[in-house]
This record gives sequence, structure tokens and C-alpha cells, in this order.
Amino acid sequence: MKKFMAFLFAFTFLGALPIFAHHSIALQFDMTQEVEIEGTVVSMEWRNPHAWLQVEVTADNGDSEIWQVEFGAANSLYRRGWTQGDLPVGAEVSVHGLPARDGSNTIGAEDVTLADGRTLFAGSRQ
Amino acid sequence: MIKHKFLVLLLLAPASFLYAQANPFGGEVRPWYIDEPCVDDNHVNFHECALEAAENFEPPRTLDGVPDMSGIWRRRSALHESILAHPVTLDDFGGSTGIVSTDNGLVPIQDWAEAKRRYNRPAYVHHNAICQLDGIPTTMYMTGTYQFMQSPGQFLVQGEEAHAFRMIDIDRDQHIGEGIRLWNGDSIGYWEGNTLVVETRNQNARPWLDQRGRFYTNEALMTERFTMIGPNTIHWAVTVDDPNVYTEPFTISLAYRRSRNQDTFEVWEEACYEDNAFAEQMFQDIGYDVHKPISGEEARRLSAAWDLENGELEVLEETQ
Amino acid sequence: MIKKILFFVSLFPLYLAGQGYEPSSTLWGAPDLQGVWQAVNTANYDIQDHEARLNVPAGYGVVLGNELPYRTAAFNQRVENYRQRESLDPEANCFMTGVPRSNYLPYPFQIFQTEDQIVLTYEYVHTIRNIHMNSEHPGIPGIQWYMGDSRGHWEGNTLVVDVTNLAPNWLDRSGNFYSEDAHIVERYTLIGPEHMNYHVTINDPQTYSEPWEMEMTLYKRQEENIRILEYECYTFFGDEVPDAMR
Repeated sequence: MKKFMAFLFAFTFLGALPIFAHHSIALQFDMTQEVEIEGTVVSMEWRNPHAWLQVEVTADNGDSEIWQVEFGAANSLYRRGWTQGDLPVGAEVSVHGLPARDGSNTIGAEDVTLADGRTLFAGSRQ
Repeated sequence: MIKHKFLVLLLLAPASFLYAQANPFGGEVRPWYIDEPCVDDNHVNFHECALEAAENFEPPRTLDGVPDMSGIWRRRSALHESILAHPVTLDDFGGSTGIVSTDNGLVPIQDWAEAKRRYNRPAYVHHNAICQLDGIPTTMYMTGTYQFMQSPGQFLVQGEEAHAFRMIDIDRDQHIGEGIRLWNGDSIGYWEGNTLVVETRNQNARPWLDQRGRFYTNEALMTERFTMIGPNTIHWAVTVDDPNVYTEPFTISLAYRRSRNQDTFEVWEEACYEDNAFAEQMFQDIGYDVHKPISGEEARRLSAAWDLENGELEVLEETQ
Repeated sequence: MIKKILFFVSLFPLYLAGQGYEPSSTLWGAPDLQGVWQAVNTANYDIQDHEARLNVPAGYGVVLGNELPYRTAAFNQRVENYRQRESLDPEANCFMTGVPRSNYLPYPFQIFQTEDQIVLTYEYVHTIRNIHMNSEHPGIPGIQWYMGDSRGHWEGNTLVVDVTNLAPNWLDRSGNFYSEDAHIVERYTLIGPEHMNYHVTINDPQTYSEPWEMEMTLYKRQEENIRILEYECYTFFGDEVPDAMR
């Protein structure tokens, strides 16, 4: 059962992270941990080899900090029909993923969920 | 029991859509592949099947009369993770061994080199993560989608990831001088019947064979064989010949399958180094070094040093 | 009478030149542009007429009319670029150098041709350009590629390439540049077996008040069995990356 659940986890996991992982994800992110943040979409860099989403999070003490969320290549987003205009700047999002091994405010995104339950840039744009 | 099944279905539904679209590995549905002949979930079986299938297939020809292997090709193997058999984990797609020349499917590696490999993996950042070229043969299985193109006297392979490409000159007389070492080496091809044989020398040997830190030296000779075994399948094999690191030459093999969307797919530019500074800083902060290549000369010295360290000298006189 | 005949005979070479060079063909009948090519000029230092300075040879400009019709703000940017060129120049940072500069860098490039797709492979940081023949740009707004998106067609013996979707980039080491709005048209014409005329029109309304053109000759490398090598500048430094390459 454990093996099966781990396998399932792998399925959902593969949703947002770069599929043809050109390099090992474990190099950069701690795959034994999970992190979740909630914040506001600030901006996004539509780049290769990784697109980066910037999310503003308000810490407990009231300070706001920017978290970097790593996506796959911008090309893969374009191919599925997503473009810069689709970014809901200002939207509330919850980001779930892997924490960076260097301790920075960086997440390897597993999913980025909007307030209405939709996952940002999942699947193809219709 | 029923609750579990429902949860499983819930999880599977959206994930399987993405999985079917994106994961090339396993599952009943492979929407991008034209998946025959010779099943390729096991490299050894595919290799043996392919050698036979080649004899029964007459490939289409280019205008200058050589087998036409142009098109968009996908590989589903995960040799870039490890050329040996390795399981599915959160970080790996997993797969059977890619080594088809040894009985046990293991890499015939010298002891000192295996020890070095085990150190490589945790100590050094993988070359691909810092946008470096992959060398030969790793270029041929690092990314998932390739375009092969042919022009009289030339064979061009390009992958989208990090805009990697390699040019094979057909029937050039000799390799470039030993004083020039290149990331992708120097490749000369020639036709042997319907098989394109490619010999590559002059590598700088900085890239690895896989993410497990397997390496070679600048004296390596890589010999590849490309053979169409069906309208939508290419049998690819490479023999790695580097007596500085390995105890014998060994052969890796995989299948390229023609992509179903080949009439519409275009390789787009995927810049790497230009926008990778953030990630590269992360690797440095974590503590990774950049791998330095081992030359043939250094490998021989290391091998001798290893023997000295681990071998035993003949006892001349017992001591009390 | 003899003088008249001699006069017309002397014009014969001009007549020949006016006919244009008839290049050899590929197997499907297109002009064969294949080979290893390189520019021999100083355009990469400065695309306009310039004097020598330390490590920079004097040179003729490649800009037709030698004037660049900068808008005021863009011209100020150009001046600032020049001042900070050691850190801002994409070439100093080992970035791909866009179109057309990649064609006149001090490194050769190769032209590889099939009927539907022409590929330019560059020695400099393994840059590669795919020119798809007789097809449309992807039409996806906002895509920026360092080498843009190239679509080609033949006009007689001239390969015409239409380039869009460029990320902002420089045109030389002196800070001349274009924006993401640039629309560039290249024309490649063989004028002899070893010489190619390379003509470029740059239309970038954000930077320049009107389109302008550059033109140069590309030379086929003559060494037997030559191939392009590699210039992987960002790999030279291991862990210690110089500031210009941060």
C-alpha cells in the first residue's frame, strides 16, 4: 500500500514540476519535506529553462516577503496555450511544493491553487 | 475499502490527464508515440529484438540515397538518471538497465572509478543543471524530444533543452587534432549498409554519462549505431570505449520513436544559461562544486594509486 | 569605329555583374547556401564608422548611410550602454547575441539546409537558429526568444528571413541595441561561390524613428573539411564566475 501511495503521490507531483527533469530535482529541493505558503501573485518571469512566479507573503510579524516559485520552462507553458496575459496579478494563491535546500524563500511548485480552487497553469488553456 | 478507491480515483483523475500528456514512461496510453516494433520497456530485450527487426526492414531514402531518419523522435528511457537499472522514486522515472553488452547488466567499471563516481554524485552539481553541454553519448538521451535532419554529407541532431545540438560529418577523412577538445567532441559518420556508424573522439570529458556521476576521460572513443527498424523506430546503440575507466568497452541501447505530432512540432529556443543565475546561485549556496574532468593520464595515475592503496605487496619477511 | 567596339567590349564585365551570380543548387533545386561562413569586418565592435581605440580596430560601418535614427530616450540609453558596456553587453555576459549580431561575431557559423527548414549553427555558445520555410510565426503574444522566431522564403536566389519575437539585445560592443518590438528582415544572397551578401532591415519603432538597413559580405571558410568548433564561455570559470558574467 505504501508503495502504491508513493506512486500516486508521484502522479500528482508530476503535474507542476518540469516533466523531463533535465536535472535531478533533489539537487535543488528537499524531497523529504513539504512547504505551503499563501500569498498574492506579484509577477512572473516567463523564461527558460524555468519560469518563476513571485508571490508576496505576509509573515507572522507583519513583514512581507517575496517567495520565488519555480515552474517548468516558459516554452512548455506557451505550448499549452498560456501567455503572460493569463497571469492573475493580485490574486490570492496557495502554493504547495518542495522547499529549497539552500534555505531561501524558494519553492519547487507542486501546485499553485487560486482562491476558486483552480490550479494555475495546469493542463491546457481552453 | 470503498473510501480508499474513491480517493484514489479523485487523485488519479486530474493527475492522469497530466500524466498521460506529459509522462512518457509507462501506462497504457502513450499519445505521442508510434510504439512499434519491438517493445522498449526493457533495453536488453529491445536491443535483441531490434537487431533482428533491422534485417527485415527497408528504410525510406533521402534524395541522395541514404536511409532517411529525419523527423521528430522521442525516447522514453530514463538513462539520463542512471544507465543502470534503477527504481521509480520521487526524483526518478526509473527503468531497466541500458547496458546490453554485459551478462549482469552492470557497468564494467574499474574499482577506483566506481569509488570516484560515488563521490561525484554528492559533491558536484550535474553539468546539465548549470546549462553545460552533455557530450556524447549523453546528448542522445538527456532530453526527451529530438529533431534529426539530414543533408548530403551531414547529420544534425538537435534537442530543445538548452538548445543543444550536434553535427555529424559523414565520410570526413580524419578527426580534428588532439589539441582541440570539445564538449560534444568530434563526430565522423559512415554508412554500413542501412546503419549510420558514428565515431566520436576529442571530448573534453567534463559532462557525465548520467546523474549518478558516471564519467569517462578525454581519450574515450564513443561509437554509435543508428538503424531504422521500422517506419517509426530507430534502434540506437553506443559503445563506450575507455580503458582508463572501464574494464572493457560496454554498449548502451535505446529506442527512438517517431512523434505523432511530427508534422506540426517545431523545436523552439530554450535558452538556459541566460536566465539560470538564480538556480546556479542556489547550487553554490548548497555547496556543490563544478566537476572537473579526469584526463586519460590522470585516470591512469589514479588507477595505479588505487592499486597501491588497495593491493597487497608480496610479504618478504614476517615481523613479530 | 574600333574605339566604339572597344568601348562596348569594356562594358562587358559590368554586364556580367548585373546578371547576378547563379549559385549551385541543392538536390531539390534551391540555391545551396551551405558551408561554414564568417564575417570579416569590425561590425561587432561598432556597426558605424569608428576610429581605433585600445583593442578595437578602426572600421567602416555596416549601416547604410551610417546614421542610426534613434529616438531621444533610446539614444540616451545607447550612451549609457556604451558607458557600462563591460558589464551590460550580452556578449560580455556570454548570452546569445540575437539577430543580426550573431552573424558578425568573431566566430564562424554553419548553414545547414533542407527543403523545409534551414538551420544556422553557431560556434558561439552553441547558438542555433531554425528558419522554417514558407510558414507563419507562432503568433503567441509575449514570447521572447534570444534568437527570435525566423520564417523564410525564397525570392529568386535570395533567402529572405522574417524575424520576430526577439528579446531585447545589442547590435555591437558599443551599446547599439534593439527592443522586444524589433522586426528584422534578413536577405542572404550568394554573389560568388565563396561570398554571400548579407543585408538586414531593422524596424523597431520603440527604439528608432524609422527602419534602417545594414549590409555586409560573409565569407566562406576555405579550410578543407572545416567544421565549427565551440566557444562555451560560461564554462571557463568553474565556481568563480567573473562579475561580467553574473
